[in-house]
Amino acid sequence: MNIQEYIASGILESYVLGATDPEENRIVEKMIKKNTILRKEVEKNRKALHTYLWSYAQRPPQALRGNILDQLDTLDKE
Amino acid sequence: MLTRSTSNVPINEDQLVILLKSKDRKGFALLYDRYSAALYGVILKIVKFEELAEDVMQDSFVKIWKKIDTYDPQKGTLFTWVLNISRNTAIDKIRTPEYRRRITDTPLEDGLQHTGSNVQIAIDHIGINQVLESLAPEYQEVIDIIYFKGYTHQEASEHLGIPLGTIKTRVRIALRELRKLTKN
Repeated sequence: MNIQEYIASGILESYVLGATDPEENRIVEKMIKKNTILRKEVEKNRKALHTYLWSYAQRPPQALRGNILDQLDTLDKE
Repeated sequence: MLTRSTSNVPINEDQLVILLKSKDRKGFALLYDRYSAALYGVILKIVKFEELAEDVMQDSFVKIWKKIDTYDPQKGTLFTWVLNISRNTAIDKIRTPEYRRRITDTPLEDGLQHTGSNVQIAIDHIGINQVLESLAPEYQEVIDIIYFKGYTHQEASEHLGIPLGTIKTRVRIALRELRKLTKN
C-alpha cells in the first residue's frame, strides 16, 4: 500500500478520533514516525478535531481547580 | 492553596512539560488554566452529569500527574495527550454498570444542551458557534458518536442504521470541513 492509498483508507481519521484498537494504534504510530506526509496528515486531522472540541469548551465550577491542585499535593507526599 | 490565576504567565509548551515532569504544582496550575475548559467541555459532553464530570476531571489530573513521565512530545502535543487521558477516563466512566443504571433511571433530553457560549475562547480566527454551524448535523452526528460515545465505526453503523462505508465517508468529510475552518 502506498502513502496515498494509506491516507485514503481512512485509518488516520479513525486513529485521530480514538476509534482504533491498541494494535492499530501501534501500527499507525510506527508509520507516522517514519513518514512526514503521514505525520502532517495526522496533525491536520487532530487540529481539525480540536477546533470542533473547543466549540464545546466550558469553564468548570470554580472550586474544582483548588480541589484538584490540593489532591495533587497529597500525591506528592506519598 | 494557590488560587491566583496563572494563565497570563508567558510560558511555552516545552517549558510547561519540564515543569510537569518535575511534578511542579505551578505547572499543573498552568496546565489547568490553559486546558481545563476544553477538557471539561469534552468530559461533560461524554458523561452528561456535572458532578460526574468533576470526578472525571479530578481522576484525569491524577492520571496526568502519575503518567507525565511517559508523555512523548514526538507523538503529539501536550494537549492531545491530556485530551486522550481525559476522554478515555470519561468513556471508562460511562461504561460502568453504575453509570448505565443511572442513565436508564434519569430522563435526559437527547444529548446535552450546547453550553459552549459560557466561555469566551477564540479558536484561531473563527467564532465558536461558527464551527458548529458550518458542520452539517449528519457529520456532527458521526463525530459525536465515535468521539463522545467511544463507538467503533462498525458500532456507529449499527447504531445509526447507516452503512459502514457511509460512516467512513462522513468521518472523512467532517474532518475535511473542519480542516478548512482550522486553516490560519
